[in-house]
Amino acid sequence: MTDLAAPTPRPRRGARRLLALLAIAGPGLIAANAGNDAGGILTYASAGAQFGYRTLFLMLLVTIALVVVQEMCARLGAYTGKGLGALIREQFPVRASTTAMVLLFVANAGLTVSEFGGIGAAMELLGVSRFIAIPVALVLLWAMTVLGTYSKGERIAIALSLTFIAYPVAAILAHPNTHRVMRDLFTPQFPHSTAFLVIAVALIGTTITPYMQFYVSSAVVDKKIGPQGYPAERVDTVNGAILSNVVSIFIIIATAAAIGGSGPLSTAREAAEALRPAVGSAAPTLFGIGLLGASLLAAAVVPLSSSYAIAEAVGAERSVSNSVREAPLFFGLFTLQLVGGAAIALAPGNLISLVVNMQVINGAISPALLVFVLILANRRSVLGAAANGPVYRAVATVCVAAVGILALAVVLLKILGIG
Amino acid sequence: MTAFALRPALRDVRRLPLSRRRASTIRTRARLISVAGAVGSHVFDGSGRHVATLDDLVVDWAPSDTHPALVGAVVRTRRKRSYVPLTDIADLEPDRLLLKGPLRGLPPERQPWHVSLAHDVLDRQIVDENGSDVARVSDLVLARFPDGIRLIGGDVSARTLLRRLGTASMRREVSPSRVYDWGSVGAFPERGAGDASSVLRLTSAPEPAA
Repeated sequence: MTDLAAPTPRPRRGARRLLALLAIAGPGLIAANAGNDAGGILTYASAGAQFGYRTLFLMLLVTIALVVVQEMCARLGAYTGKGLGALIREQFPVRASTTAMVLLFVANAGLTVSEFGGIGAAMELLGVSRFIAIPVALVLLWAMTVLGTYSKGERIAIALSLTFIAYPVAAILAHPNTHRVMRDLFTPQFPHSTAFLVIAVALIGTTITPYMQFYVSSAVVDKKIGPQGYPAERVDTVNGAILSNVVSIFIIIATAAAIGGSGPLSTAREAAEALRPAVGSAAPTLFGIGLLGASLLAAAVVPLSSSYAIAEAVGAERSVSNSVREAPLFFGLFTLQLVGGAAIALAPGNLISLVVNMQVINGAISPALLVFVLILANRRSVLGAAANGPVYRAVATVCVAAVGILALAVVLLKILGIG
Repeated sequence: MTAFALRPALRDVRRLPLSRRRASTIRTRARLISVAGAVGSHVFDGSGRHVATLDDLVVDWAPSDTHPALVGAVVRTRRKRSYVPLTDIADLEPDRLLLKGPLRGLPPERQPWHVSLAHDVLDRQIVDENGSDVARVSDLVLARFPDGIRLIGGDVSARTLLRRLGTASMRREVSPSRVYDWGSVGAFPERGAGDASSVLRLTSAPEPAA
């Protein structure tokens, strides 16, 4: 018989802290890492190929904005026990909340297609046909989310995000000019051309996306993280945002070191092939593994975020820990987006224009949804003492205004056919 | 006097077969009033002058009262929001609030036993006894009785939510067949007015409406 009263060795303070952080690691890390999706990787690689290291300082600023936005969303979830979808429904007019949900669903449905496109492209780099890879990925993602539990799914998602280590490895193997990297990382670079402005806006748009905000707030609620557990969750969210952007910065460095100044890229394959001179035959494999992990993670997170948001808005049960019978709307929406995304990604034809258009829709709704987040996080009636203080409010307003203006600028540039 | 058949207890709908669902009957002297439709409508003073916009309707949330009674309204002028007690209200119609005299401009102070229907109840989450989410309140319905205006039911349907996206006249329409009797919806033990975490918890002892 086991002696339940036997004393267990007590971990040292540092080890205890690490264990506590690992236990809470989840929503923030997963949401931020999902931001390095197929579209993101292409944008970062393109920035490195076109402008070398010159976009690195901007990425430093984007990291601050991402930390601020993601932290507000996680805080809203932890202190109210409600995700962004629920809070928007309760705190704003029904027309505004319905419009937000419809736009989020449309934008996320389009992004899901591009994530499956990323899975197909990654597996083709690794020598597997997309006609095999995409259906297999569809079944795996569906089973993991619908038949698994949240903790299992979370562990798999965190494991997938470890594949991002491929990018720092690729960057180191590409032998970047360390002095120039450090100089451009900490020295402001001003836009000197329309093309630079376009890539700057694209970098912001692909890094701070609505699905990440909705996902992190809902997942915090789903994990039942309350105000008491929030300090650890804040560490997870801040770390996740910083880590994901460190990966983004390494993608830029890797591509800049290999083919900096050669011009924009249009496909993930080009981005992978561009690294061949630096890292030889390992380039496609490294890039493919990273792209696969990112796309798989985002292919689950993107549809989950809209399923959470819509189920919250209509007040239906929503949790990855529920059964399909308990949460039919939640899993129905998830399945619809997953199957639809995979089917369209398998269809013949050029998906690039569709993906570009979806990025435009995301760019258009991002500022509006960020305004919702900012208002909610500022309201004492919603967050009480945890509402934004004057300093945080000022910083968050500047971040949201900057992201909003630049995101609207990219939409205008796309509409005008520039960039 | 008109009789409206309302839907039975919300918590039973998933479990009971159709044949066993008994409708509650509400007899009322006037048209049913949609809270979602009434909010935003014009407020007229005793002389018939448009003086404000209706912002919210306030009911007395006594635990023993299955159909809370209207005790006042919150109205909005260009400059501020103010409270109008029931004694100042001549009539509430689906598309307007009529005052007996001038708008007095009382400050809208919250009383612990008062609940603002649009702010505290509309669009809020309803959970069952086990804490599972059931639905959100798409609309609330008031009716006039000999002893005053009372909250008689809640509508949780998606159709009503879509109706609220339409014009003002569409927002004011009430479909009694989609309205659950508030007496059987039960209660609000965890209401927390003004608190973002407030939810409507269905009680285990529904009281059928008279």
